[in-house]
Amino acid sequence: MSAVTAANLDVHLGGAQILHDVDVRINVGEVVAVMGANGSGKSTLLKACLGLLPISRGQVHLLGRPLGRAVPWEKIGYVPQRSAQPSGVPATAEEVVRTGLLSRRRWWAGRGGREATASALAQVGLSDRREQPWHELSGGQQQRVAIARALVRRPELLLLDEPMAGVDQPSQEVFASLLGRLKTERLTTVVVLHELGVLRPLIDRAVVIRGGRVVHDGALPPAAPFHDHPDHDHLHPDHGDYDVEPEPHQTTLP
Amino acid sequence: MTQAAGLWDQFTVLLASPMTQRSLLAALIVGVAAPVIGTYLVQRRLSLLGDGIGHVALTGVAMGWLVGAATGATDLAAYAVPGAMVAAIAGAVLIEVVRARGQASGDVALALLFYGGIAGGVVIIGLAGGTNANLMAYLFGSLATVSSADLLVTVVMSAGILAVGLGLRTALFAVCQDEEFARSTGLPVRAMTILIAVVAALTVTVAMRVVGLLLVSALMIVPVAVAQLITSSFHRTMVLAMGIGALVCVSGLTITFFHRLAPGAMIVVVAIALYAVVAVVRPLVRARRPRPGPVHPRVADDVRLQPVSQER
Repeated sequence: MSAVTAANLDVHLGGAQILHDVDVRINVGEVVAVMGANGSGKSTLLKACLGLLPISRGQVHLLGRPLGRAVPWEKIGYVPQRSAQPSGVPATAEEVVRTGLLSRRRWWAGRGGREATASALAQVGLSDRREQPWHELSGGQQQRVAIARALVRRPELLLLDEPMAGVDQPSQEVFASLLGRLKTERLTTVVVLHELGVLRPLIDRAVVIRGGRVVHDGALPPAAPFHDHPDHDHLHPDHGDYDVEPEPHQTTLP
Repeated sequence: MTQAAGLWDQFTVLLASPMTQRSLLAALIVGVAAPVIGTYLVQRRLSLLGDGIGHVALTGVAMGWLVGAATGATDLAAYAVPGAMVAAIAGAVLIEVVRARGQASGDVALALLFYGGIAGGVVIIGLAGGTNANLMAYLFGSLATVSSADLLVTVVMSAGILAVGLGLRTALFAVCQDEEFARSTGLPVRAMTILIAVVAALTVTVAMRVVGLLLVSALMIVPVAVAQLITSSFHRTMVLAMGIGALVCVSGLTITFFHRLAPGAMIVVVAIALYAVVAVVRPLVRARRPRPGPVHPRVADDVRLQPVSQER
């Protein structure tokens, strides 16, 4: 069974066509990177697959169900690119993670909510920050809280939008080892990335988007010059365009 | 000393009066209920939504008056509160729908509601044969004349506000904190934002009695503003704001027992004075509280620095 299927997907935003006839299929248990430059449409693809953006043509199936009420949303964990602006009222890391327990029919965190949030925060190495206001955490820690919020759902499908962008190195390391552990548990993971960086060994397949089209689907592309040095850290989100032409579109799937 | 004793005697005499008891009780209940929904509005950065709804509610009051005149009711004001409630809910849902469309005109739409609400109210009350003086009680509150029936309506509506605001707090918090994530969980986000708007409209209607439509939003927002100066969690902010709301309502009203001042305005002045005091005192208290863990984690900073040289 495929975890995510997008077929002939077109997405328009503000009158402009962002995605052109995108076909992507992600199998259960796969770890797939969706890559591309800024503005290539990779985040748009992720949001369209989650029903957060309107689709003008084509279909999306999540966990075998067409997008909509039929999708078992409680089995899907989403980590937005920058999870929310600092809001007006302070909220602790634990309160933010607890919202991950909710779903279409579950409007209360319920019994066991406390233990579940505590264990999710422990998974991302933030047990000691449980009571700390979210807005006082660093960017990387906020990102880890957002990941804990997705993991507390015990998802079968995890979708992450640029989890490494602007993230400090300890958070990158925590995230890489977490992803490695989740991979052994056969959790299907789709991660939107600029560059593979430290995640390279964990990723099974790369889908490269350019100009709103899939230009590559298969083996991991080599890093662009100056980005391939082992010491090169990808702390800034504003580069990573491919100077090297990726391989031509490969239609067969592994 | 004798003067203080005199004041206390005066107060106990006042407390014995059922009218004082009713107005104190109404102020206490509204003071507890209003900040609940205010916490969500501050969280969503919609602090002015209550003002918009309040202005629209004035048109509702006048329309209720018009209905009273048309049906030949003995008490023209009988339909004022139902009218305010209907208009407030309609206005709140309208604002929410415009906002959800994500158009930049949401701000302008709010402004149009502000002006249209006040102007419509004044024009319609004229059509109903009333005067602007009739509107004053609604604009600035009328705590002094709370009847038993008014009190019952206040209790029932406040119970509804508390039931929704506290009962659904995890879900409503999720929607206010990160709307995009909340949508990805499958929560009915659109329905919940409309629910918040409707409960805000009910809060405006119930608080209209206490502080008046022009100051209604202050009762929802200022206690939250005070609370978030001190707290670090959403839940504690809400609980503390409820306490502060009750405190300022009761103390503001009590002051007006001894000095002939408008209770609604006095309550808001007390609330804002409390905000000022807390804002000044907080840095002195905060400085002493130790932070958990090191502020800066030990991490390589990826820059090569030149060895520091002595000469320039």
